[in-house]
Amino acid sequence: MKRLEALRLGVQIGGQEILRELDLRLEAGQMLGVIGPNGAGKSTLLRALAGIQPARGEILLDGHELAALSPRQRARRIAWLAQNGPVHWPLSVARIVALGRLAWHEAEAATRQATRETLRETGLEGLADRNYDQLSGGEKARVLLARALNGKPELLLADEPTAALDLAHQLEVMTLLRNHCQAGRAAIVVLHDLRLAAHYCDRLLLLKQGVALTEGSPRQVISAHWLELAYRIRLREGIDPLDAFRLEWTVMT
Amino acid sequence: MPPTRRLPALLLALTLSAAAETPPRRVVSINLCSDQLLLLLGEPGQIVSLSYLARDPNASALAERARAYPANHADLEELIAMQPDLVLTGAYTDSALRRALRALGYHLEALPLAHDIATIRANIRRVANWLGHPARGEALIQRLDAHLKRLAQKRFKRHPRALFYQPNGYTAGAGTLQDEALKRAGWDNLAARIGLRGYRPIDLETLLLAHPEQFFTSPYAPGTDSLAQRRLRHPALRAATGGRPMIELPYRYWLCGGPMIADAITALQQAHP
Amino acid sequence: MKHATLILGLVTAALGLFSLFIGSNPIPVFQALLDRLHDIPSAIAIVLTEVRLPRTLIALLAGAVLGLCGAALQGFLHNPLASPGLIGTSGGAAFGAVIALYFGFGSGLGVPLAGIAGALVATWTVYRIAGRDGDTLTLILAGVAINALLTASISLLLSLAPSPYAVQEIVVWLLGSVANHGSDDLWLMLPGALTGGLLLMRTRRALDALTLGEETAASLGVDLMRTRAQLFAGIALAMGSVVAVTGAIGFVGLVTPHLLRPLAAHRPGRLLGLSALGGAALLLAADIGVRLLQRATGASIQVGVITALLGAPFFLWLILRQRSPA
Repeated sequence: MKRLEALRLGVQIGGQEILRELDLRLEAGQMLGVIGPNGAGKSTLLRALAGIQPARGEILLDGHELAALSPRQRARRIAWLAQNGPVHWPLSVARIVALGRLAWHEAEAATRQATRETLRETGLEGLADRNYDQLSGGEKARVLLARALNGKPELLLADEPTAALDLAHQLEVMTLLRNHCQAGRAAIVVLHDLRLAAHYCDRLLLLKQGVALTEGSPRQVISAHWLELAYRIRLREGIDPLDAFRLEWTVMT
Repeated sequence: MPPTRRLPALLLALTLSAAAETPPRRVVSINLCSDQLLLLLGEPGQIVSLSYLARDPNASALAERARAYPANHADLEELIAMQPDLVLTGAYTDSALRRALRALGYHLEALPLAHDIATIRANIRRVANWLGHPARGEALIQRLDAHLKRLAQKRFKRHPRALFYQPNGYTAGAGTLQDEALKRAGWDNLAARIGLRGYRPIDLETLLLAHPEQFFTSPYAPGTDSLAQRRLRHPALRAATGGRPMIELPYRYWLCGGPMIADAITALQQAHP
Repeated sequence: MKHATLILGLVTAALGLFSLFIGSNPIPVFQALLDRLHDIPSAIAIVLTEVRLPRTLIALLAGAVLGLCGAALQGFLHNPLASPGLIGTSGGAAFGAVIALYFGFGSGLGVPLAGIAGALVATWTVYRIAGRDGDTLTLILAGVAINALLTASISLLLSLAPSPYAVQEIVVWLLGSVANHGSDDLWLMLPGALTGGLLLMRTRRALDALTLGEETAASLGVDLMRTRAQLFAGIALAMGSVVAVTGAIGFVGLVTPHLLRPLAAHRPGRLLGLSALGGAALLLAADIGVRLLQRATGASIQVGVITALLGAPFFLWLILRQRSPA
């Protein structure tokens, strides 16, 4: 893909407006962070973009209507990573990651080949034959992310991929997402941790009560003005808001 | 029983025992088998009521004639209202009902089941005596014997292997009316040959391996369906007899022993290949 | 994995062959086969091809359908306690078949069609009550209620049926039997069983995807509406046709997927084929047991008695294991 555009996106669930008149624009190679208080409609936005939540307005992928794609064509281009997504049967790690290529309807050998590559790229080779049930929380999150990455999606939609992870695993997951956003690929990530958002994302979208308050670079969005408006929090006098959310740690290799 | 109630019961018993010496005047039958013998041997004015089964053309050989009389359902209150001086029952009539009727002082007679022609003769004689018409009984027996003798004159070159096959895989072995009728009609009853006695289920494979040439069946409830009845339509049965279909005979021939056994033998003789 | 299918296939085939040698009387099977091939209508040939062969094939087909439907339902509801018996499918099919058979429109395809309709209505009802998330407790409670209703209705209908034999057949409908059927019954159940089976096999990919939940499955391009429709239609067609002939045979659909799930590496889609094979082997083995028992004791018991005798303790063990932390 080159560009994703959403125009006047709106979602109504049970008579309630969850998203209102939302415009969005994302270039290839970029990572967009979606931030905002609880109940802002962040997950709903991702679901709408993934095509699993009916929405008003238009979603254009390189200028073409997303709605015109068949579910399978859509699934090959866009991957959605659920927040705390369930795994109902104790499959092996390799089998779960392989499910990411379901929409490709390819020979089993091709799936196996692609899966092996993805496992290597995500550092999960050693866990390939382990049962999902036996993994730690951090490993599980990585496996589910690897599943979403396995279809080589042009657009990855990740809903709080770092929730409930320790700091090291948060950094690992964010690095994987960052690596994904190369030529022709992009990601939209819902984040609660503003440090991660400021550090890893190219652009941020600040949502509150279904409305986009602002959209721009981390420096533009992470400002005393917008954070006050969105979260009703106040910064101590004389401190740069970006300094307050600085991330100065990396994972040891 | 309190003394005040005992008196009417005593009086009733006295009148009944007096009546027993002369022919009974109000006879009620509550059993299909005694119904039919009562119809054949009784004076029309003697018959007060027959069981409702006597009117069922599928069960009763005299259904048409039975319609001339009121039907009963062997209900105690209903029977008392009929004021019978003789109640005819079967060997297996509800024993609580029989005890109740006896306790009230009614005169009951029970007709034994007939599994062969000798018992049929004895039963005819028995009912004729109860009704006070022994001569009618002897006449009926003579007619039956003459009929049987005529049928016995018919000779068959071969006695083909046959067998009654009923829902749920039941068959009639030795010591049944079917067995006697089959033999008198020139058939070889396979169920008896295998060693079965009375009414018993026969396993499908055993049945087929006995090389049957003809199946007979007597539908007890024509026009209804059930898994039990579907067993009669098993494709193997038709294949075993070389495609020859099962022959249906009315169930009323076997439900009760009576002169209709001769009609059954006639039908079985006509079924010869 | 490939080996598992192959071995299971061989076991099933061997049981199928063995089953032709088991009956109430010993017969020279090879002579019977020769007679059959030379078109000699001997009694042993008829016993082989009209009694034992249909019984064997009906047991295999019914077992395969039970195993397949159980695996498909468990996969779809991602619930190892779901089975065609527990959620009312078998009872509904039996109920429909009972109406058709005993109340006079049981000729030809009437019985299987009524079974299909009954299976569909009963399963759909339980599914609607339990909700699509397949919450175990609600599902089981709804299943218990619907099953009780169906069992009582079947008993009532059989008591009211005009056929004098109906009442004693309650046990067949509630426990199931493959005895005393001919090839015509096999032909009667075959179209629905095959069509339903094919429909179910087409949900394999979707069932695999559903391992990750409904939403993720949808994001993977799975059409959930279509999958659901295929699944219900498939189960109703297959179970309806089978139960209309054999009655509601219990526990095969519950136990088989469990036994074989490890062999399928827990993949619900992969499990379908294996479970069909396993169900066929299991039910045929139970029926061989019935025949051996009959030969030894003369008593003819329902195959459903055997499957329940073996299946119920297994089911209890399963519940206990689920309750205790792994």
